[in-house]
Amino acid sequence: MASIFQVFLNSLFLIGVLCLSTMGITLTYKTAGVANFAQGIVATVGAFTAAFMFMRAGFNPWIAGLGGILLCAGMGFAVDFFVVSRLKSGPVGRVMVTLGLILIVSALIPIVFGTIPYTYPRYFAGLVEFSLFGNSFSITQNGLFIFITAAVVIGIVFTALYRTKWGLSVRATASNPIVANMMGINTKRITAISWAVSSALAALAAVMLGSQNTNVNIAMLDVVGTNALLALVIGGFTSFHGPVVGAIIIPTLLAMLAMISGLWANVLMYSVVLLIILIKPDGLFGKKTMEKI
Amino acid sequence: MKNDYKQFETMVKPNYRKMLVKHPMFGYLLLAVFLMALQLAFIFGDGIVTLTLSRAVATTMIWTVGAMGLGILVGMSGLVSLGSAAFIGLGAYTAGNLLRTFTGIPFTAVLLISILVGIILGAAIGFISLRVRGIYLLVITLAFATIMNQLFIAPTGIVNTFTGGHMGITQVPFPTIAGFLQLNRETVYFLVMAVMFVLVWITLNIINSPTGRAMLAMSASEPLAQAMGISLLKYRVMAFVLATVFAMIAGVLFISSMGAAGPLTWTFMLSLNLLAVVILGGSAKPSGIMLGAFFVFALDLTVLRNIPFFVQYPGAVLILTGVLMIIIFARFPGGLTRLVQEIVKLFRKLYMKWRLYRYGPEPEV
Repeated sequence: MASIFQVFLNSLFLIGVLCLSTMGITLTYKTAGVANFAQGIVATVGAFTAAFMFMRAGFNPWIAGLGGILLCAGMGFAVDFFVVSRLKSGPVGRVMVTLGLILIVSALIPIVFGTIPYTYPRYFAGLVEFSLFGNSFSITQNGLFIFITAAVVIGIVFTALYRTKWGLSVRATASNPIVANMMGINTKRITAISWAVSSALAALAAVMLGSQNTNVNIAMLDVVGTNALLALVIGGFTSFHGPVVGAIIIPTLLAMLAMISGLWANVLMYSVVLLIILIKPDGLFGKKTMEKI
Repeated sequence: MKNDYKQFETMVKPNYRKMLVKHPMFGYLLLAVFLMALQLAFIFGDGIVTLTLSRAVATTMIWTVGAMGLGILVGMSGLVSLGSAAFIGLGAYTAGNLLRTFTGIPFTAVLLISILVGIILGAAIGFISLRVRGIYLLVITLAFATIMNQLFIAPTGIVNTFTGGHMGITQVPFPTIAGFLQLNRETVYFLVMAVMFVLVWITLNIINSPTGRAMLAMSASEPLAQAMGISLLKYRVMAFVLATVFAMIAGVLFISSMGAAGPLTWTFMLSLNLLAVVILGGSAKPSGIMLGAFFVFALDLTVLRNIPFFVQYPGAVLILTGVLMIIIFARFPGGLTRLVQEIVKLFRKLYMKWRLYRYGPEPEV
């Protein structure tokens, strides 16, 4: 039992990263109707920018991270403004546009940033050690910092969603864009801002992951992107809190299963996720949506 | 009286030339002749056709087979899948192990065993997927593909002897067809081509059959199709079986022509690219799929690599493909099929204008 808790502590930073990433994907999926496969690679640009600012331009890591996040927010806004809002195609075509984006960005990264490896520092170097019920546990300060940051940021996003006028507009757009538009909400602006916020959240996740792994590479967010989509689906995307719960479940499950068999943990985890979707096809917190024929 | 009889004869006598040109397979026949000529030029003419080009065309044909199955799923049945790459991989491993273990096994047997595996797996996925649709289906197939990919790279155990882990399987002999014809590196191209065109013929027949109509109805609206007496279970399972079988055949062709396969080929990117082929083509018809496959897989190696600028900057190829893809998705929802139709219409209009200018208006009768 004690060792399970230690494994959970070790994957705490992953929960933070996945929560941020999932929140981003949920925002774009609900407002723009796009399952954004390109989010990971766009966020990787943010991590590369942060590493570039830290290594080459000599900024301190906090400002470098902020620079990466702001750049990503701009990129997200640009993607929506120049591409997604002008689309004429159906839902699958919209997903495919993000594929085109993946091709472009993954080809641009080596051209802009070069092929040399980038390193990024941990924000806090030490370990936190504490004892609970007679067992001693430890967690890296950086991991704890990532988890707390993620929790605070997710809290801010939820407060904004449920307590501000912007949040009300986002929820209205998510539930029905046409009616929201008729009610005087500028859905185009809401969608564009949602893209910017979503990309910024993903970039924050990327910078955090880079600082925990102490390096930045082009494939760093591949698994996170897939898992974020899975989290979106097992949580159910009719609500905003469902996906976040999904994002907490997946790394926890992975840590538990790694105790049983380190080799097959991923296979087991995806099998469990498949089972969850089969038993509850609308997700754990999703409502069944009715379709008018 | 005699004259009348002659007129009657010309009416009844079949016009073979017209029948040939109007036949749905005629365009594909021309394409087959062209592709065959390309490979013959590669084998016999020295240096006219490069190895890169021949290889690129063969690979594109293999992916076209996989994409045609996905076309039945996406273009006709309104379902969606991100698992196609994993099934192509499974087909490749199955065929590779059969060819490696039983030397001299007939190609037909390999193909039949792979198809059987495809039918079983496809039916299983069809049954599983019955409860979900839309993005849930996308993610379920993605999870399934991820599980298969994890199994492909298994470092130990019985799975490892089957897939070879990270190393993949190598030194697979070229297949033997018709019992005695041992294929080699050059002639295996014709096998790939023949299988692809047989599958084109099958796909065309499926599209025009009652099964195809039922699938189209299902893609338009599932509840309405059900109300018309179309069994969703039957046609969903059928669509998934067809897609999986096509993917398995693509895998068999891959291992037959390459002789080796590793887990890095069957990634998520390949699945996305295959989906892009179908959507870019804009039609479930093989012609649309071929246009899309040419655009996604072959444009790079056959055309762009011959332009000096792209030889100097290989990264620019991906950027150009991405930009073109986004433009087509954003501006032409009908895909490349629609684009080609529009261009043909434009040229016909220009020709009519030129004729009006050259010969004047047609006399009224």
